[in-house]
Amino acid sequence: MIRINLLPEQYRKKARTPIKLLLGVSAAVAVNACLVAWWGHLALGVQAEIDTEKSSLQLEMDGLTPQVNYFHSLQSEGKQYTTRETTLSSLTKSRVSWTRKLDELLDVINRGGDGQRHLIWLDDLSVAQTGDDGKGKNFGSLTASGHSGSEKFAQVANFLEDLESSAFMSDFQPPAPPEGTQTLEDKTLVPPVVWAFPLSLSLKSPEERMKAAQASDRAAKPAAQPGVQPAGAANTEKPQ
Amino acid sequence: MKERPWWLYIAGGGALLAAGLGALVYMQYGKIDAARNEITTLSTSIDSARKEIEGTAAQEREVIVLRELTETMKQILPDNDDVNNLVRTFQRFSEESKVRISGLKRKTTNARDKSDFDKVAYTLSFEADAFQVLDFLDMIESHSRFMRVPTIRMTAAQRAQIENDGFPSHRIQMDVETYVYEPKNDAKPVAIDGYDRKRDLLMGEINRRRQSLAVSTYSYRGARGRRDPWIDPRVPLLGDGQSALSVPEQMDLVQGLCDRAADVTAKWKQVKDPEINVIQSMLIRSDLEDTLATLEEDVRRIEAEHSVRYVPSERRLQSEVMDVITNIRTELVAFEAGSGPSNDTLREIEETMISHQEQGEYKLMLEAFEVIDSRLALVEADPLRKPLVDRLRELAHEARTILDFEKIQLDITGIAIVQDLPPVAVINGKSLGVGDMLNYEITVHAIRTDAIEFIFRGVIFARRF
Repeated sequence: MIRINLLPEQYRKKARTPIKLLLGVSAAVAVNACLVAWWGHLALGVQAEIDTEKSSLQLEMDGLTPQVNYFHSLQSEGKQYTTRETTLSSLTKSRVSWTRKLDELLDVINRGGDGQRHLIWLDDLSVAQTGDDGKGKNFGSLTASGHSGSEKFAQVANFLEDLESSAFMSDFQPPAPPEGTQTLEDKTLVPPVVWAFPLSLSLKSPEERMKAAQASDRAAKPAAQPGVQPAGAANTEKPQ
Repeated sequence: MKERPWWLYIAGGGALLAAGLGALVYMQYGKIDAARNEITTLSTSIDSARKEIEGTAAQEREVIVLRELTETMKQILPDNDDVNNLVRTFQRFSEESKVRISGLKRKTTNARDKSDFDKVAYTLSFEADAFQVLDFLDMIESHSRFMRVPTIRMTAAQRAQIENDGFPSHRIQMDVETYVYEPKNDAKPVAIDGYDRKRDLLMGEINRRRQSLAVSTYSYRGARGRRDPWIDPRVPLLGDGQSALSVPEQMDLVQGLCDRAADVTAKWKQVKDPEINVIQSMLIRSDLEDTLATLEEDVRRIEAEHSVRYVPSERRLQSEVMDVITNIRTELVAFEAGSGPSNDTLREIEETMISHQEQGEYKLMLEAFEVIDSRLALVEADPLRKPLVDRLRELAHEARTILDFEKIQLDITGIAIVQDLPPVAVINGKSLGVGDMLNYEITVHAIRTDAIEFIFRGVIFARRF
């Protein structure tokens, strides 16, 4: 149905902005104004504060960087030298002084009292030092074919006993129990009966050798009192 | 109908604006979070940097110590040039220890190591006795350059070889390893403020670390009278003869003589050295004469007493002592050409002869005299040396007289001493009294109850019974 307002202009209801529209616009303005304020707070307040803090820290870091670089350069140089030192140290410390070992072996062989305790001589000698890099379990060996100039086989045991109680053994694992065979009797020689026996010794690991050396050093120190002759004082280690 | 789109426009515009502003706020939060993260990262970095910087002083000290150790490392393992000298070093060691090198072979090692130390290895083959091996080994292991011996293979000399040559020649094969210190990718040293001052403060630590890096060596003190364990020590049951000395004692005795012969040879070389002055030469020569005469005296005594019967030692005595003495004497004679033996030589011979005389070794007295006899005529004209020549001849005459008297057969079968009657002795079946001649050289000088005295070439001898 069509409504027609027949009232004269002056009596008609005045046209005005609808309240809903007004409310809607106001709400939109308010919300957007709040959002602008929030953004403004974040951008100009919080962000600025953080930037200031960051700049201050960056400044501090920039001040520290040369010192850190210096430290790293030193560290790098030091690492290079340390590697060399460690390599050289392991080389020198793993070395077995064969002069010492053979000299000690000669001592033991010569302390047999010309056959009273034992009369030993050797046909050969084979020495090998291996595995000091720690990769294997075999660190080397000393082997020899020995002869005992006596009809008493017990003299071989005497020799091995003397060997075990000597300083020579500090770098070796204990020897195998004595064994041997009697060679042909030669009545034109004195003594005519000879026992042949194998001598086979395994080297200890470098760490064990080091410990043994330190233990012997400690043992030698208390003995080195005035008037007391330390064991093996005649043959001493000397630094170069 | 006109109001509705307008309203919609406003609502839509407002919502769009709000959405845009919401996005801005969201993005701002993102930026703030990113900035906060950066701050956290920076703070962490600063903390770790501060911690690292705290260790700068310690690291500086460590680097200074390590830099100073580099020189020590270079001493222990010098560069490649010194490896070439290694062969010369082996030569010197072999001469000093008297080992006879027959092979020197460079051992191939793994390709260049990544570390700063390159391995260099040699296999040496040589012949020597046990103590020469130890001497050689000691020289290698005590050398300032670090060297290690990873393998030794030794085969004892045969008895026949020892008997033929007079000395043992064990066969030895030895690997000798060393390393060359060649730093790779060496970084440029960092400049450290006040380096010298800081280094001086760290000298204690530097020395301690140097000490720990130093290669320890063994103080080998030689054979010390020990027997070579690679020589069969058994002696022949029925050998060439018996000696009062044991085999090791004989070997030691000969070793001592060999050393003295070597000493005499060294002195003779010095005497011949054209670079030393006359005074020095005379002094050394005087010492040489003294040493040589004493050595000859001892050798003569050993020969006379048959002290050395062990065949290897006998051969060594002949080749390394007696032959050496003979050669030096011959050279000395040639050296003196025309001038004859010196005053010192004459005195030494005199002392030697008197020493033999005191010990009743008349044969040895004559042997000592024979060394110089043929050259005495050269110095007879010298009034200074003439009395010494006469004295030597007199001593030789006495020795010869005694030895000749000892050779004369004197068979005393009885004596008769009766009161108031001249005593009579039965010698070689003849009845002789005091003053009677046994033959044209021997006269009875006195007859006593326990001995008869004879005069032989002007010397009185008593033959006791």
